[in-house]
Amino acid sequence: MSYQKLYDGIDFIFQKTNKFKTTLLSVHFYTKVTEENAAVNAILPYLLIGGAPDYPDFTAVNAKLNMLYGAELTCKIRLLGDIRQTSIQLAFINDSYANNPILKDATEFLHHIIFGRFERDYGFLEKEILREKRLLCQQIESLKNNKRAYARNKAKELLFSGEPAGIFCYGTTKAVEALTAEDILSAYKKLLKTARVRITAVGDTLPEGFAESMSAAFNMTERDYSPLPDDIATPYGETQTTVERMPVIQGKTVLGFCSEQGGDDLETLPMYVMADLLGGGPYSRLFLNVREKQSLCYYCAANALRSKGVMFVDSGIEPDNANRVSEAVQKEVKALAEGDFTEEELQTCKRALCDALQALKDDQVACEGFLSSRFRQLKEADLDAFTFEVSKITAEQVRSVAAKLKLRTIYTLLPEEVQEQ
Amino acid sequence: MIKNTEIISALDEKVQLSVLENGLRVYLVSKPSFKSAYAVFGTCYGSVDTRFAKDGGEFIDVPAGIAHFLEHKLFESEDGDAFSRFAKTGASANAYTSFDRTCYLFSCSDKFYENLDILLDFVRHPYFTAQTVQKEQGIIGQEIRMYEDSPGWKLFVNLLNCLYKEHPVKIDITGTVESIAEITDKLLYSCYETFYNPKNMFVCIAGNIDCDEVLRRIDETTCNDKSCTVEKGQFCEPADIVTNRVNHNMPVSMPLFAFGIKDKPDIGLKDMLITSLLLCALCGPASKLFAELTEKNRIGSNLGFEYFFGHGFSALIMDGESCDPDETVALMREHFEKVQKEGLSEEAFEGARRRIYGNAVKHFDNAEDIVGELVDCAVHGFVPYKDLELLNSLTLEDANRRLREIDFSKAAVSIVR
Repeated sequence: MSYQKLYDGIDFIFQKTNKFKTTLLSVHFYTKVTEENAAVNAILPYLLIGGAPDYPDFTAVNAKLNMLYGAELTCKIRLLGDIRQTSIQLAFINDSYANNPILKDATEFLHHIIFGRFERDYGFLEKEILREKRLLCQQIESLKNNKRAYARNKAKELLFSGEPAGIFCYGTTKAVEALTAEDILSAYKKLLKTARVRITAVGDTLPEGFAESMSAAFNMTERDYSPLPDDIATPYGETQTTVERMPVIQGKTVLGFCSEQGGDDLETLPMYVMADLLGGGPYSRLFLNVREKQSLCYYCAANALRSKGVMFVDSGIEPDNANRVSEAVQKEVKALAEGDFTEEELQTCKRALCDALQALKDDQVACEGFLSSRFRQLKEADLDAFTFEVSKITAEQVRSVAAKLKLRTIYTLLPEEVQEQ
Repeated sequence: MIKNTEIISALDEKVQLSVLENGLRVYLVSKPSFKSAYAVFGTCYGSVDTRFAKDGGEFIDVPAGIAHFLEHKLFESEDGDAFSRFAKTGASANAYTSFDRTCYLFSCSDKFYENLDILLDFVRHPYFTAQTVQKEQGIIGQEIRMYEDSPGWKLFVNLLNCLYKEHPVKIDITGTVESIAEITDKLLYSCYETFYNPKNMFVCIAGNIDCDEVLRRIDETTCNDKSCTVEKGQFCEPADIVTNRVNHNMPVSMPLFAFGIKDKPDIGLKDMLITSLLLCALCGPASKLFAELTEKNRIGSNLGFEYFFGHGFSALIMDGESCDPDETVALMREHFEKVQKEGLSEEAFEGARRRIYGNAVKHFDNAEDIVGELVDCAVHGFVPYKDLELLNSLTLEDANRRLREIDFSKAAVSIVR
């Protein structure tokens, strides 16, 4: 892996490898999320990949992608704690598998998609804004179609109330509808000028001068970068219980725990291991005890958000088991806090985590995702180093972090007609 | 004993395809630059196999959902379960049941041979009791309820019920709470002993493996397994559809639609490939149809499409979100019939061909995708990567000929709103 700092706040990582037949180029922007900027920063990447000065609409963009042998141009928006990651990615086949070389063409195409409007002083057209507003609003509304994701999102909103992490990364439909062309153009220029940026390439070859051309493009924006603040660990507080009723058949319950110990560095790794021991895979406490032994749920999984010092446990349940599931989960957390687990259980969990981490090297998208999510700490972007640190986590470290967990939120989604027990 | 082995090459990759004396097929792709491996041990047995006979015996009918139920139970043994064995090696294990297959799998970046031994062992040693069956009925009952809350799944199952009268492809893979209540340990053994025999099974592996050593181990482990003959029930499925529209009410942010056109089944690899290319050209993001539907605010950000097929069933299926599904489907029909008359353009054809080729190349980057392709070959009897060879030889005339064969009167729409 080669690392290069291009600018203040802009770096470039090239994971050179000949194991893939494709190249994946990504440009990631990291910004602090606020209620005011959520909607505009959500619509922006969709507008960028939907057209550019030389490709005036998505039909033209996709016709170009077809000619690049089905190259995939995608955008992603997600929250990493209090920070939003906005990504634009292009994946395409290597020249040796194409009838005509496409490497240079593909990289220039990506450059144009990201910088074309800025370089040509080309704004955003009313027609494309209307289309993307409609689609983004539909996307916001469609969260309700996936009940598991909906329940997890509601629990996040409650636990992170008042914090950036609690803001839905697409904003609200009202905010989207209110956006103007000027808002969007202003947000675009601000993003290029001030965001923390990581550019990554995973593949065999890059055209000469790729990093330099990216650097030159950002130089034109007259960069004005300020380092991003660290995530703030969510504080302890009273446990809030919320029940929502919808016409569903299976219930959902999501428990949110705080530890007041956040951070993105290796010191918070015990929480990562602890969450996996609790509810990571079919060897975990929740799977074995809550699902298999007590048959209380179809799924019961734990996930840690280390930078915020929080952990969520989400389950699909029989509606009248909601309280029993909540109690069973808390019992398992308490067991970990008291050190009531064996060394064998811990080793099983670490083996699975380390095995899965090493397997990321063979998954181009996952490997790139690992590089881009660890934008604060270069050391943590080294997969082998990260794996080694995970393998060193001790039972006492796991017990200690579990002991700091306090239940802050219980969100339950139930059918309309069932009474809670 | 190994009956025969052949090597098939494509795009700098080699598939080693072997057939053992007992009929077990083994597909292996070595990727020395990879750290990990992905392995599937599967059977050509899925939710559509509700009627069958073993070794020329009487046909029996089994409850819906039993193939999926059996998949859940196979992880258990008298001493524990397979997950705990994989836990000791660090591998990630799982399984899935589809309409025409059940697959047990693991992926790992260490201790590959130990994991292979576990996989071959637990799948070949069933253990079912009345108590364990009863417990699983509870867990699967919850899984069924989870899918009942999924608008996308409901949309799809309802479409299949519009298109198919007799064929069991219309039955939900998990069955129903009522149908799984009829499952007994005896029935599970009966299904297992019929379908989990080497002639009906396959192993597909890709990753950092030594093909010869892997083959030797598989042969050594399974050489005494006995095969049997399976006769699958035939269903007199008429060419016509059942009904051309179904609407299901459930809370969704925007109505979902699935438009399906029933096709002649078992048309052969070349025509299936041409049909997939047609769908890409007609419905893909660079298509005139997609542009028109988006311009008129008739669909969301995607128009999904696939050629859905298996033994005795096939359909062209397109789906998406729309504020007015009936209007959207009417526009789609109008567009298809117009292109059917006028012919597909060279530009659309070539663009779709390049896209499909590019997607095929990308599949080689991921061990799981490679194994997925090999599993498809094992289930359908295709030669691996024959489709890549065919893709280059397809012509615009092939595409237009195939397009003219599609009968839009055999079409149905499923809506969830």
